[in-house]
Amino acid sequence: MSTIVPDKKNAVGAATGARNLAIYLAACLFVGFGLFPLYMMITTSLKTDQQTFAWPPVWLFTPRFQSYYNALFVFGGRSADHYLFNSLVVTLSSSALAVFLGAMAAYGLARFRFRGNRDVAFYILSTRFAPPVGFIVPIYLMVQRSGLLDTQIALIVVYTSMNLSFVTWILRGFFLEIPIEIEEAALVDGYTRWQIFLRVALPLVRPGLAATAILSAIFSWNEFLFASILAPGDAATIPVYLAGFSASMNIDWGEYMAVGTMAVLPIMIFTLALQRHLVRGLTFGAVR
Amino acid sequence: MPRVEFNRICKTYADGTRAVVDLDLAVADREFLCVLGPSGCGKSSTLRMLAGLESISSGDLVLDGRRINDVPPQARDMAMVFENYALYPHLRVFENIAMPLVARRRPRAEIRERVQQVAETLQIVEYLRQRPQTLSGGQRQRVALGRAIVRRPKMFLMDEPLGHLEAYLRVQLRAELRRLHERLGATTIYITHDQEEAEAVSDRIAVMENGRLQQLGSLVDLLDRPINRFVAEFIGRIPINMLPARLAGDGQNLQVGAAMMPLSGAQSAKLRSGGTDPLTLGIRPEHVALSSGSAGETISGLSGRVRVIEPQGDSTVIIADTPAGRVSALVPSGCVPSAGEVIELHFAMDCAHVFGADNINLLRAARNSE
Amino acid sequence: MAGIYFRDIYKSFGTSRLFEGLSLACPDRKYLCLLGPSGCGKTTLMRIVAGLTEPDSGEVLIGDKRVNGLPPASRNIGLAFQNYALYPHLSVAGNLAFPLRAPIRRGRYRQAEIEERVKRVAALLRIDQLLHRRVNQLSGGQQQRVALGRALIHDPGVLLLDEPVTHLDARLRYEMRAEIKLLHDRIGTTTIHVTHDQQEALAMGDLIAVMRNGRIEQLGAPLELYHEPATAFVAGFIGDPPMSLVHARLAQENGNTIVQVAGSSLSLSEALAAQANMAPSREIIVGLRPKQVALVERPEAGAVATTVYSHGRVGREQQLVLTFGRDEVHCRTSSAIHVTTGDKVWLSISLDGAKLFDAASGRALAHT
Repeated sequence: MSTIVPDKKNAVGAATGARNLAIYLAACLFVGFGLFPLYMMITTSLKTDQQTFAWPPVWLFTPRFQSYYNALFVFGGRSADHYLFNSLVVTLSSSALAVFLGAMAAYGLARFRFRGNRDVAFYILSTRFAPPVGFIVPIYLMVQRSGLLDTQIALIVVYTSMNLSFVTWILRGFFLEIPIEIEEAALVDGYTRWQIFLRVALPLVRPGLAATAILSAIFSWNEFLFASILAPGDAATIPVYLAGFSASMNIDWGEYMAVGTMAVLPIMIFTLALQRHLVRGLTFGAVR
Repeated sequence: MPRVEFNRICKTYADGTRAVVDLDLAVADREFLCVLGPSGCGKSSTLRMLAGLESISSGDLVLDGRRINDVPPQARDMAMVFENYALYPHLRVFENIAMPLVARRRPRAEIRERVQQVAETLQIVEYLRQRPQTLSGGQRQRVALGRAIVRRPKMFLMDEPLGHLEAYLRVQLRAELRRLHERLGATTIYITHDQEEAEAVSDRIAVMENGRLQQLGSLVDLLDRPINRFVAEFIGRIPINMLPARLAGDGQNLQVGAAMMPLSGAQSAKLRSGGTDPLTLGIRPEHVALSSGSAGETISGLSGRVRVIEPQGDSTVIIADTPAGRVSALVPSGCVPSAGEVIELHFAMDCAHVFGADNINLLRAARNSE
Repeated sequence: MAGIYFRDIYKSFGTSRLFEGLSLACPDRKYLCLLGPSGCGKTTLMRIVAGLTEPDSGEVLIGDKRVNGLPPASRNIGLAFQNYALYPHLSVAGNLAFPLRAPIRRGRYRQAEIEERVKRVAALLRIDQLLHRRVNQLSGGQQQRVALGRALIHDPGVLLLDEPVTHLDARLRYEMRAEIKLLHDRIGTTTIHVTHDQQEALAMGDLIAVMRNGRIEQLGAPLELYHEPATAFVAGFIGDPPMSLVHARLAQENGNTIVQVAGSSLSLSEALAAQANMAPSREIIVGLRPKQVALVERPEAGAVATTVYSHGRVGREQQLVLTFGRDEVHCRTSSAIHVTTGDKVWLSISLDGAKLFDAASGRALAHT
């Protein structure tokens, strides 16, 4: 076969190289665009007022932590740590409750055949059809009558119920993916349904538990509307407290941004901690 | 002139895995070639490179005298059939088969006629209006075949097309594939890990392992003249017996356990010249004969105790434990010992293979020259 | 140790009826293969023993105990699933110990005893080097051994195996077949093995029940099924290749009963003629093993004309599929002849040892 045309692989290689570089640059631009506000928030929290308002902007400066000190210790009355703590309690409790209750509901919907199974599943999702603002008045009244206004419990109950529907739906999908034979094997091995749920099914949907926990926590942590109406005072969460800054006459931008930065950190740590459980394919290789 | 040539083809993946190493293979026009090997042997990478689904790291891939390394898949005019059928679930059988023609904008009348023709060949006319999910596995694979042949491509590439089917359906479809091949006369490359399938459909078999082509030949070649231990063990419906052995002091016998197996002159010459000491005797179950009772009378027999009896119909497999290892023998169903019985096993030494420490069949050259 | 008995089982799924009065017995310590194509009900029958599926009516007995309604855990069975169904979040040891730690056996095994048993079963199945591995790091054959070990570890009274070797490569399948059989010889547990592979059933079963459409076509020892199939379906399912089934018609010629097929006449031996005379109708099916047909060079007396439908190799032999009338006949030859699809070849058929079936019912014509 002497007629074979020699290889021109370098030309092909150069073309793909240029294309890759263009894609890479575009991606960098996009990421920079997304991260810029975050960058502004953190740097502003570390600047003096003069530096903050300087034009052209100051890019290099000695960071100072006065704003953080002010936010946590000097302010008269409640300081930021009180509201951060409120947010932490409400977020962790409501997420844990939503994931646990949701997992049980999802398992039931995925594994048991009963009349109206699909209707129930649809009903659970339908609770999220209306905009939450639409039922804020009845909820306010319920909370008020039960004497729970401005308590953490009110927010925990409301957030749990709001998160429950999507947690149930997502986890139902995960449970349906577990091969039924694994659970039947456990049944034959001598386990009860409840134990199969705890010892076989739950470990196998760990990625789903992590995903739903993260989503619930982000929602609860950032929710503003219900928090501002049901718990405007002592039990206020961090978004409500933050909103107070922009309402005041002369905004202390340094402190505002310091509280903002502190509000971002916990949820970021929580998400990063759970992220490693998000790996898919835990059930891979279990059955063929 | 061969239709397809692989000239020193290599495939190295980004993580450094060498899937295919220095593959030299020529496929004749109208030939049905099987690439046979265990999973991970490189057979799928080979087929995917041929189809253009995978880039070639080095070497030349030649189709009809033209190098096609950089020709995109759609321009290679090959049709591929996959193990999992890859049918379009939202389309009816007719539309599934018509798809390649629709994609090439053929006139509607021609499409209808060719699909009808293909459906008749494959005996799926009555399912044309159904959707794939209402069909059985065997029927689905016929539809997938139909989609491949309707284009009348230069070549067929088949990736374990019968892998998902039950045993009895597989047997039926093998005959269909062979028949189809002879009627269409298209060059076909078929990959499988199932040697029964390979032998039933193909003209020649290429055995691959660890990314390298081990041996290329007809089934009888592979059975009777395996080049190395891997091929000997991989080929054969009932696995070949492998027993540790050594050349006896006189050089005229092979010692297996306590038994002496007499060698022919050519055999013993071959072993004396090439023999490194840890030898392995390979003997196929159909070349093992039995005699019952008193051990130790004949020197060529290995005595063993019957452990398992597996009827196959007219013949029966006897599995016996001997001092040298477990030995399978294929015997007529009429003369089967009972489990637990002590029997004498006799090997037809002219059909034996002896492998050296490097796993090469030392007797192959000897038998070739006979 | 106990036998397994089905008495008059009925089972429907929605509107489709599967079992209508099925009865079957697997005696104590026997190895019973349930053999049939997919959808024949063999897996459902096994699930009924396990308690994963309840029959609509009828009795299931393990030993002399009626187990209907008992939860699976109380039936003292070991079950190895077709897809292994190992617990992916546990190690090999964890999988093996799982049944021993079940609440139903709470307090029966001390920790030391659990470890002891895990070691013993692992050694028996030669997976003792793998105990601390995760199951998804194992090869198919190793996973299969773990599944088998998990089914055996609590000394079940009955062992249920669903296609236990189907997914393995040929060589491993052959080795595991012998391993499982040796294991059964050793422990003697009554076993039901579900498979669609006739070769596997012949090789492994003490008894084989061939199933089709929810009915037992025949129950018998492997070679009994091979040599004396009770129905045309069994004849066409067992053997490699199975019997070729040829539709034919009985006729009289000079006072002798003969068989007419595709324009040719074949004479019957005395024994077969006696059977043929008991046929309920003249339409019959003739079952032929490959050794009863031979290719001949030219049309000789008794030879029939056929067309090559397809061909291939089986080991050193060539196998031809020939069109004969409206049926296909399998033929084997060791001589190196060159044929292609569509060629005309002559076939000499010997009806000695052929089986005759009634065409309408498919049942074998009775022996005299």
